[in-house]
Amino acid sequence: MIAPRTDNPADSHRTREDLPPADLALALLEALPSHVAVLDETATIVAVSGAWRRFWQNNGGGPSSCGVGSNYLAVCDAASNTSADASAVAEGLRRVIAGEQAEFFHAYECHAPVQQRWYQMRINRLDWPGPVRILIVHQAITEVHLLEEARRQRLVEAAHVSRLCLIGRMASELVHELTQPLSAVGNYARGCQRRLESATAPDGVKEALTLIVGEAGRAEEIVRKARGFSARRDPVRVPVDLSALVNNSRVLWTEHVRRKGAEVRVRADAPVTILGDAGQIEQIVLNAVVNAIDAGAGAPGGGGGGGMPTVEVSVTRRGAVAEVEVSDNGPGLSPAVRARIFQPFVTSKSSGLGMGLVICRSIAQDHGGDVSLTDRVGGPGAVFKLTLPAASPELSRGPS
Amino acid sequence: MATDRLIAIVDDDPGVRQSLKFLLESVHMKCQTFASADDLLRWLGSPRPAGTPATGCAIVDVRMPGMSGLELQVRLARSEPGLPVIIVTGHGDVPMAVRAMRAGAFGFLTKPYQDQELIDQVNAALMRESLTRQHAEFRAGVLRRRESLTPREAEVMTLVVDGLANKQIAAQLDVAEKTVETHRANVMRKMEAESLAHLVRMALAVE
Repeated sequence: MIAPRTDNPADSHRTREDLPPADLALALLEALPSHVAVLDETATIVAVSGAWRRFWQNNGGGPSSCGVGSNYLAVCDAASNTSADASAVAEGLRRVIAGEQAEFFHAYECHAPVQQRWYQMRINRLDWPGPVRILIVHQAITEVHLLEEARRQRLVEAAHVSRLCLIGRMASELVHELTQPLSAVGNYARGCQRRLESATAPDGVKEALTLIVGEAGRAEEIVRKARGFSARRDPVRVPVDLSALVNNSRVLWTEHVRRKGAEVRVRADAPVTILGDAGQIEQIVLNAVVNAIDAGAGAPGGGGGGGMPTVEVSVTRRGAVAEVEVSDNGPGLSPAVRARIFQPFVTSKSSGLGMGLVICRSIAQDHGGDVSLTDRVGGPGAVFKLTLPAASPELSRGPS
Repeated sequence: MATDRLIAIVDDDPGVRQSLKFLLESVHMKCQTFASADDLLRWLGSPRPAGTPATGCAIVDVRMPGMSGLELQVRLARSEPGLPVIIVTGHGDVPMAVRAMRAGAFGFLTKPYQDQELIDQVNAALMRESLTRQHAEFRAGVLRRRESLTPREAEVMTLVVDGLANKQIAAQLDVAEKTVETHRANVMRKMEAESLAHLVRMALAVE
């Protein structure tokens, strides 16, 4: 490691009360925890913060490469061939120096051998009456970045689970829907066969009936196999705290909330334990909240009518029943929709598939519960309710 | 076996129930279709036009909106105790079939099934229903005829059925043997018994 420079003003520990303002500025700069450099109009570094200096020393750059007196543009240009970040920064710095741009931001990764690190760099002109001074601040955003990364990852996973779940459920619904007409075809064909047993029929009719019976049987067999294939695997049954689950899934709808200018209030304080598959229950909650926001966005009292889509999510336990309630301030349910809301491929959304509630209900029923959608008592809006058998609280291990 | 009994088909899917009717009619069975459990219960509970055959068996799909097939079966066991119920499951669901049989279902079929399986089960159900009904009618007739006996004749009948000879009955009732003979002849006539064995069978039926 390279020893700290001793010619830095802050190292001389002056304690006089009549400290000149310039010296105070330098002392402050030295004490700043951020990586700050001050450049002149030629991009020559005229001052650096203590954190900046130590960073370059600790990372093998040495004071000569990025210390006071060296040219930041030259350093960037030298690295431009091997680093896209360096060329982007050089470009941005030139624009700020030329006054074409007031500020320049650049986020980049700079990984140390033992640690992954992300930074954001900000370049701007110092707003003061003196000579041109350019401020470069590198801010560590590793934590923010990792959080953001984790959030993105969860969204991707949730979308993936959601798609898999959707495909599986659709397949199983489809298989069920096909069973009925196929067995009807078989019944009619066999009924015809039996009626013609002791009668004479035109050429080929009896043969065709035999073929129809055979083909219907083949189709039924395919459906039977597909049913085995799409049959849900043994469901996961672990203790899940619904309150923790709802609080943890907030991150999944933040983007939707931002886009629709909505507000989601969550009341989920006391632990409410159920036995189930947290991922699947999360799907139901997410689906309900997104639907509720969309409903509010199209309502007279909601976002579409000048108001704000407001959604309330609450987790409660009533005796042996755990409940998650999601209410919105949308228009509520039209009678036509209410009657058919849980049928496959029925939707009030222009871009919807009409499978959301069908899947939610099927998941809830797998868990021994159910979902319902009703008008909100005493006002416009709808209330989505997920009810599940509550488990005894001592099973609770918190969120998994 | 073709009887004059009606077969009730309960399935919420119109294609399935109509096609079942078509299939069973091809072996000369009479069918009536119902879209729901409630429809069947309502029909059974209301007067039907004269000449409508009695219901001989019900084929019930287990998965229906509203009242499920299993629930219907429980209700039918209470309101129509002699009516055999065949439960059709769509899932090959063993626990469900076990529950159905425990609750007294006559049989169950798992979709997809062979038409012959269905026809065989329906025939067996109709035969059972017919036996149950014959027995019930026989029993009702015996009870009706026994009502026409005087108390003394009823007493004599009990002792005759118990295997006592006229002499023993006369001693037990403290009457003349001749009197017992007259009572006995009245019992046989009023009960329409062709033999002592016939009378014993009647007594067992109402025991």
